[in-house]
Amino acid sequence: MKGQTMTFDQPRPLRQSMSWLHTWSGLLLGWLLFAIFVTGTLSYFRNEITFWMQPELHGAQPVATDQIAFLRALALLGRDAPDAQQWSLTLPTPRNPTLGLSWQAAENRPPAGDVARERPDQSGIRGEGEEGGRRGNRGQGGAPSPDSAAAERSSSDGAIRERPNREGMRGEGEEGGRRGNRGQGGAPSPDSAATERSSSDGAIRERPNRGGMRGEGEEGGRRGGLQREQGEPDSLAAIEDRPPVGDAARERSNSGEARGAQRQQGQGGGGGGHRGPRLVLDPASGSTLEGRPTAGGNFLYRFHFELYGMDRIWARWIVGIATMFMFVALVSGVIVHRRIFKDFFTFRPGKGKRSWLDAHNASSVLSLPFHLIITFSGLVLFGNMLVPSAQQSAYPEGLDAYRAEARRMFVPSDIPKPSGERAPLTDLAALVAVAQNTWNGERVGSITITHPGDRNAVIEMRQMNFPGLTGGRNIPTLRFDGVTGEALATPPMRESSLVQAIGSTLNLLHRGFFATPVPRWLLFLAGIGGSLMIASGLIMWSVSRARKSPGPVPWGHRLVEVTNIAAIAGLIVAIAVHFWANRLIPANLATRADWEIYAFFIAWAIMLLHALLRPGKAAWVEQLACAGALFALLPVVNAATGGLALPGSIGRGLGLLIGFDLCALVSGAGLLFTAYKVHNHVPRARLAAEKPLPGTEPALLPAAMEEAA
Amino acid sequence: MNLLCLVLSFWGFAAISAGMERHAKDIFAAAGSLRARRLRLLAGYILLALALPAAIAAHGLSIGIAVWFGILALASSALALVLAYCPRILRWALR
Repeated sequence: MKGQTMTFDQPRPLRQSMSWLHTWSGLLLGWLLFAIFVTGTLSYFRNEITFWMQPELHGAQPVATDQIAFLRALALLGRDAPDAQQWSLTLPTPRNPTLGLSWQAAENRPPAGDVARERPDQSGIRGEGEEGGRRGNRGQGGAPSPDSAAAERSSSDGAIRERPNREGMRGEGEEGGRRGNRGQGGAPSPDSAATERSSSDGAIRERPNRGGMRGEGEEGGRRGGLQREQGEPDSLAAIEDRPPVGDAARERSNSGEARGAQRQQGQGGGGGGHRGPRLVLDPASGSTLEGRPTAGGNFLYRFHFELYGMDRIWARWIVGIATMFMFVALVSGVIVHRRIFKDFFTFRPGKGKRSWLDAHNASSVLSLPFHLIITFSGLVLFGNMLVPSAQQSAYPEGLDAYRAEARRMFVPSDIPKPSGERAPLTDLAALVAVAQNTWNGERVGSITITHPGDRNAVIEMRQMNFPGLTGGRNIPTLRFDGVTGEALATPPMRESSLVQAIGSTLNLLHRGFFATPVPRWLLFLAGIGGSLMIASGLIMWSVSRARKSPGPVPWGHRLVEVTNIAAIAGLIVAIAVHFWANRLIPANLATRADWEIYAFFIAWAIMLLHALLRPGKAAWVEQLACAGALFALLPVVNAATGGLALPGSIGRGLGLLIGFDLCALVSGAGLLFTAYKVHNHVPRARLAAEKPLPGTEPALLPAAMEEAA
Repeated sequence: MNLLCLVLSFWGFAAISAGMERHAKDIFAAAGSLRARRLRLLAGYILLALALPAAIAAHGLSIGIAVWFGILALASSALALVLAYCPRILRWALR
């Protein structure tokens, strides 16, 4: 706030410096941060959002684990993938009531020399479609130029882990897509790779992905599936960005799958329209369900750290820099706040700027632990990209050494080879019961069956929920003989160093993999608090200046006002439009998932235009009212376009749909109420009377934000 | 257990606010003696501390601590709104 009077040629008190820093670091990237926070907050429910966006799945009947149609599922797998190397089942969870099936084709590769062969091959492929020249180069070398991380990776680790898949896939003729998936799943860039996962693991896994990073995509479902199919529960698969949990796997799978489809259409990810081996079943009846392709919650999730339509590495850098600004703003904000304890609970509504400051302080201070952790862990997730020197100084010999060491941490699968003798599978339902007993009632999240139909079949059950934050990405796993049903030794756990443990704990906290419903809602609410903090800070910049300027509005103030409207109210409208588009775009339109995303951006652009053309207050009121109406009507749209309506979801106890519809209703009502209050608001400041003020209604705007998020 | 944790933390924050002069005036009409306020503060901190084991009982140690922070944020935000709009309703809960 001291921005206007601040000069740099004389000493000034610490607080004044910090206040300047806080104001401008907050303003400069505040709009982007608001979008990151809102979409990131929604990402805590991306699973639920994706499910809502596939009304074809709403018919799934939630059942207890012992009533799941395992026999039917196995019959389907036996029909579609009798020779698969591995089958995977994701069991219904509170976050997704469907049963997911996927498989990994058998390795039909030549036994020798594959590593060598694989590399060039793989990289070639990658190079090919994706990153054009750059990648190509890397790829072809098959290797090791220092920064050719991607190629390198793929050759090294990629070769290790991915090989089987690849080949398999290839066999199926969908390599492109497949590969893409994997890639995508992964990660983005050599360095960014790291970003997603903590520390070294990340690096390891991501490698293969480099390719994917590009356009492709999203972590597709496929990937979730694949990995889990790999049957190396404790391996990298388990530590990487996908938690080995049912939910999370699905998270990817659903949206991923859709995404996959979309990608193939939209971005030409290679595979040609094949959706990959993944089936979604109604767990009660075992009948298959076909979800429409959708951008799903995954779009919002991706957007919050990779934005859209630009190079992912650039996007991640931008988000990383914004995150750093956020961190600066948080720390300087604490320093600036003179009465952090005295004003701890203070909120004085109806007092203009004072109220905005109170709202800003309260939303910041009361959730400060969350804000600090989410921001810091966000930086740590980007750590390898933002601070490559850490890796470079620890491994002066070069990236190879780093990778070699990371690879050593990877525990190879110790599942025996198939015997070649056929034997029937044991009763899955009984094993699930055994597993749940062993875990004192903790539910099974996913099941993988390696070498199904062989005498050496092995069944692994993974727990649905993380037992804690400190165990790294290890999740309790039990292993059984697939034919006799006898319990086998549990697979080896992955050891982690202290650094990895800290990294993975921060990662878990940030991404909420551990979160059962209560923690998840708390994270969501805290995220809303963060969105409110940013929004109130942005609005305060305008409010505090509006009073002081009697003359014509300086262009800078108008710029901030317009941007505030478009970035805050406009974003909320765009999100609502995204959900509407999901239902209004024909379900069989090939590029529909892309259009859902385009609808989001088109709506946002229109809101920006609208904010430019209309006076400030009118623009606020209209956009808030528009967002409110769009949200409030979402449950109606849901019911009218094939989704399960609210009474039905309550009757069936489908919490995720109830949650979505009720949140939409509450947000809509809150936004409309806010629009109404802003409309009726008379600015306190006399000076302001002759020109439009941005929503000067103190208590309400934040409430609106809250609803919308 | 989650609910217990929420109740304890809300109550704890309410007691702490009642130990602060400004809010005590809003809640009780009079700030009360310094000694009484100190007692409320102390009671408030104890209640907040008691909320932690409740969260841990529900979620295990590591997740429980994270949940405790989340619930504290929720409870304090709720209290800030109560203090802003209807502080008097807190009277019955705090002497």
